[in-house]
Amino acid sequence: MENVAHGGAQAVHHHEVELSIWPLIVGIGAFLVPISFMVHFSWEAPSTFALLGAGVAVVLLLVGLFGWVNEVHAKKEEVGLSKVAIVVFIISEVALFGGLFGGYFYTMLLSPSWPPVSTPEGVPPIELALLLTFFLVTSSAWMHMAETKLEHGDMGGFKTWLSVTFLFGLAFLVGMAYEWNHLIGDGFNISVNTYGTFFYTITGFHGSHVIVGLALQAFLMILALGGKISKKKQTLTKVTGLYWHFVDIVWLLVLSMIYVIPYFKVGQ
Amino acid sequence: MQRIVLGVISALFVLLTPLTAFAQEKLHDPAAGWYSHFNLWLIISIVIYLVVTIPLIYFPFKYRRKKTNQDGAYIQGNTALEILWIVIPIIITLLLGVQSWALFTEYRTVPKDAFEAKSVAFMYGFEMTSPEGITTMNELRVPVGPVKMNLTSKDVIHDFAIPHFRVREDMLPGRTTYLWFNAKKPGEYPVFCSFYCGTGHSGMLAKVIVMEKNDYDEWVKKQKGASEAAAASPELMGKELLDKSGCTGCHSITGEVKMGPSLKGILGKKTILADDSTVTVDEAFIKEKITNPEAKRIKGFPPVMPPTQLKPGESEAISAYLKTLK
Amino acid sequence: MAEQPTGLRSWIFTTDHKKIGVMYLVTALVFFVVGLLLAAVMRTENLDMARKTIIIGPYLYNVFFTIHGAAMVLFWMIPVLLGFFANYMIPLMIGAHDVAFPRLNALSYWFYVGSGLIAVCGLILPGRLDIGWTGYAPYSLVGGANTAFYVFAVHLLGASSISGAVNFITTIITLRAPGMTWGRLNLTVWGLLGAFIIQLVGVPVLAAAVTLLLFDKYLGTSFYNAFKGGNPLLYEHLFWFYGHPAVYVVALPVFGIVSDIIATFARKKIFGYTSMVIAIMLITVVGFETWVHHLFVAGTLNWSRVVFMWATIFIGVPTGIKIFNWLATLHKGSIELTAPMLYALGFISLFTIGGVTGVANGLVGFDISVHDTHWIVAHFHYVLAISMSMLIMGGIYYWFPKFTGKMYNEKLAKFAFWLTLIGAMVAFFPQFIIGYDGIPRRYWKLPVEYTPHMRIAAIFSYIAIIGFFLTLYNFLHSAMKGKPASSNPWNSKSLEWQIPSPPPFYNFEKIPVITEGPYEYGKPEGEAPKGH
Ligand code: HEA
Ligand code: HEA
Ligand code: HEC
Ligand code: CUA
Ligand SMILES: [Cu+2]
Repeated sequence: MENVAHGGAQAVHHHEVELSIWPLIVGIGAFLVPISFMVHFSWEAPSTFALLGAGVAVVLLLVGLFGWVNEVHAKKEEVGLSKVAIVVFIISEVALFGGLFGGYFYTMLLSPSWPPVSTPEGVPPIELALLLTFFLVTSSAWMHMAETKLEHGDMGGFKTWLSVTFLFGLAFLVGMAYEWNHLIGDGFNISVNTYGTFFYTITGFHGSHVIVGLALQAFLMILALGGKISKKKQTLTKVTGLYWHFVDIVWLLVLSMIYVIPYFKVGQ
Repeated sequence: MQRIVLGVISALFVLLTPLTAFAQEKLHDPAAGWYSHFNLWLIISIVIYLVVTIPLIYFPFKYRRKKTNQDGAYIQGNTALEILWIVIPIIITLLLGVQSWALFTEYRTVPKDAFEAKSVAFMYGFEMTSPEGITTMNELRVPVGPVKMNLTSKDVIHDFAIPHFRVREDMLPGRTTYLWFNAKKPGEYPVFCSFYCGTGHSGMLAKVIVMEKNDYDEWVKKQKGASEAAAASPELMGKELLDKSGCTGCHSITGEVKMGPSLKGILGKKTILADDSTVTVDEAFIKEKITNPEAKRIKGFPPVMPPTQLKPGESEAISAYLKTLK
Repeated sequence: MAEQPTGLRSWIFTTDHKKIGVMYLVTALVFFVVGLLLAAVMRTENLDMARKTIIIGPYLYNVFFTIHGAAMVLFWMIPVLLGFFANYMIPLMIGAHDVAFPRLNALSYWFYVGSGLIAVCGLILPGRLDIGWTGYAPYSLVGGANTAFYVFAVHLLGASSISGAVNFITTIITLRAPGMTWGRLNLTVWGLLGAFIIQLVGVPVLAAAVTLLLFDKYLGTSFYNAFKGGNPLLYEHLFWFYGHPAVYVVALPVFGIVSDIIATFARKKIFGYTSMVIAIMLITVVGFETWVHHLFVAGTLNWSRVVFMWATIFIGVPTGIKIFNWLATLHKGSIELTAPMLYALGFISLFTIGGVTGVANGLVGFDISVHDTHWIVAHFHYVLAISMSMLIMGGIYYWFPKFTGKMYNEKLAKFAFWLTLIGAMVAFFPQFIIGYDGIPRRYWKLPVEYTPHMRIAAIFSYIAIIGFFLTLYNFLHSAMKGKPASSNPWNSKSLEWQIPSPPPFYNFEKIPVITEGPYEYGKPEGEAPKGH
């Protein structure tokens, strides 16, 4: 051996698992989701089949993910690689929203007026959007509080602030559901024109990220109640925190592009 | 180091000065400009290829390994050399780029006196309209001289390509794009659809017929009379319908097999269906074939024919025309 | 350390990067064979240009090139590089026990398999995909194809790519052994890192593009529907925003592998390591700035075409740096022409032909005449299909002793190399001529005058395909019956060769401490190299 010296530091990273059943389970679950869609849309099979497939898929995904995280958390010590990974992952999420906003911008610039004239009065509902902004932005602050409490080892405070974060996030989601329901009732639906198309797609994409963030928080709560989170095991909390702040920042973009710009009715 | 960089920069100036002059020269024919662009590119590329391949073949022989585990010379790199093969490709790139830019400007600047025609694409054919308002299918007649085409599409994206004039531009639904070419010599030039648009894509062909100015004017006069005649005669109406509905994209009337069987002389013939039964092609069969092609598929062809809605009398007109094809 | 598990379970439940890598290789080769067979049928259909069906009619021809393109690019090229080579080599080259998230790694593989199964549905089930590997709207919306197959295959594959990218970027950042500085990484690792960055940023945009396709088709939205205010060009923009960099996802790791092979068989330090790394990173970044060159005649704004021309053709400069540095590495080397080395040299030659024609396409005035013609088909088969596939075969030969512990048959390897090289080189050349004449691609039948051209093309592609099957035979036969290989048959200095072949389960008993880069051949001071 010419270029390596032997007997250096102990392994930085243990080869932690040899076999794990969970990736395959999650993989099959994820595979069944599109299959059930296709059964329904493309082959026009009775929807019972699609529902059955989707049900199995959801069960497999839930069981698989739970088993997976449990297996990871059974380890004695954590290395904290996920903190790097979540930053890397967020870069790809930025690209996802970048693509959507890019498409939105492109369509907006090529339209004679924005929003197109066929958009009903009172769209976008800016007051409600500001209320939603309040919920999400403050919940980001509460998440930060929870993280600080955990750093100080204050588990009680951690749980409290985490619950507050969760409730504010939930309030956002409920508000959004109310808004969608209301708008669709007013005749502003996803296929009314390009603005409607982008409105629901982008707020929907963002909403799905809120749901993922809330699921992560709920999961943290379960782990915290089981005593599996401590000052020494902060990684998952940090990951959730970073993700939640990111979801918050994206919302500010959604607010300015999807609500504020059309509010001023350019070119109408 | 410094000397190399300075030398290269002055070489750049020497090279680029004539180029700017070149860029201002007007070619008035994109096709001719394209050929000289191609030639410059070809010479440069052959040189690059030789510069790469000759050492690639020579070195392995010259520096063949003589003993096992003999090492090569220990060389880290050489800044001057590396700068050289950054700067020379940059110069080549600038050269080609400037020439291409000038050519492109030529391509996109339509001469003021251009003859202006229009084409609307559909699956699978081109509807051409002359400035006098004469509409033809898959055939465009233009007088000698520069021609501007305004392009659009009725359904999916298509493309209008005339290889002989070295032009092409996509035809987008809901938008108008353009191209121009200099039709110098009378003759027939094929037109291709160069944007994938489905099963009939490879059959979506047309032609540009360039005529002397007088011939063209005469043709325009004849057409004005002809369209009145067409309204009166079902045969002529049927021919027009075949073109207009896109049938000729897939069916020839000459006996040639395109996407679908040729329509020449089919009336009254027996034909074999996909389920191996035999039917006689009559007017009812043709009508059903057009409005509901799913019902009876001909054996040996792909099931791609789309249904077409017809107004009363149109199917009869088509049949009447098909009867004339013997 | 635990016992090594065996049997089928040890494969399907594995989280070991080496086993996952081998599973990627085998799966990708299956798709390659599928793609080759489809190509062979298309070429047979091209033997006669009279408009008569030979084997498949126009409809199936369109299905075949769709699945051929998708199988080759998405299910062979990218997975074999970012699945097999990355998985197997990155931990060995940076001195790690495994990747950062072994379970996620396994999941990436299963996503890939699921995606492949859906793509196969698009080949055989009703509503077959005939929308081209690009899936351009609006045809993919109004035609009879089950665009859902396409969308979901891309989704699952995207999930696989993104999780893979997150995993490997984290691995390269955090798990390098002590002393493994950025300046001591193998160029293969650098190339793969560039590719993963592209995947990370590009794939989400592609995923968004096809999701909107799904919405348009099944929810009645109007992203791409021109008659409802949408814009079909938006799809092309979003697709090529990923689609163009995707070609560098293939090219960058290949550039890295070429560097490793050349350094080993010329026993010489890579000429200009730093500029090689800078070139890789430049291509990674600038690759995202060139996509409009696929829309040069698509009705885009005139000035934007010129801007993107400049970005496109300047890509030739960093690529040129790499080519000339390789040549300079050969200069005064001590060269042994083994099969992997032959493949590397053959690659450089084929790639240069493809590359200079790429520059031609990038010239906006030039491209007007050749866009979407057989010229383009020839360009990307030279640069992507044959040169890259050749080098992947070379890479497999190069590390064959490492991952199987067996030697391959050198004579057969060289014979197959010449067969494939000559076959592939001639198989696509006539298409340059056809494309120069402006004849469009994706045509079931060309004008009849081109029958002789396509006959030559067909016959030589059969020769290349035979060459490939000889190679495949060589792999399979040698993996089972080959002579045992020593741990470092090439006597390379790179880290992965310093451990036994095949590597033990934990790769390194102890994490090594690195004191030197991977290419320090013939260093004047310091230890003289020892033989094995
Ligand atoms: C691995 C795959 C790969 C690679 C590496 C490349 C490399 C390049 N490609 Fe290619 N390309 C494809 C795969 C690839 N391409 C595919 C698949 C398509 C078609 C997609 C479809 O429509 O289906 C395509 C299509 C395509 C187009 C669209 C054409 C059209 O549809 O009209 C263009 C246009 O600019 C282009 C340009 C280039 C350029 C400039 C490079 C450059 O990176 C090349 C750089 C290399 C060199 C230049 C050679 C080496 C350099 C030197 C020796 C130095 C000296 C050289 C100079 C100074 C010039 N490519
Ligand atoms: C990795 C990518 C890849 C590869 C390997 C190939 C390989 C081949 N391809 Fe193609 N092809 C594409 C990517 C690729 N292709 C793409 C993206 C399209 C566009 C699809 C679309 O339009 O949507 C396309 C389209 C396409 C068409 C349709 C053209 C049209 O009408 O528009 C045709 C037609 O004949 C064709 C032919 C072939 C042939 C004959 C081969 C081969 O069989 C040629 C022989 C080559 C080899 C055998 C492999 C190369 C060498 C090795 C692997 C070395 C191994 C050998 C040894 C080790 C000895 N390809
Ligand atoms: C996309 C290509 C396509 C288009 C467009 C198309 N056809 Fe066809 N047509 C076919 C094919 C393929 C067949 C044979 C298979 C079948 O029966 O469906 C066929 C069969 C037929 C036949 C039966 C021929 C026989 O041999 O008996 C008739 C008549 C016909 N078409 C008329 C028309 C008319 C009229 C139109 C225009 C309104 C038209 N087609 C448009 C592809 C097409
Ligand atoms: Cu119309 Cu291709
Ligand atoms: Cu490109």
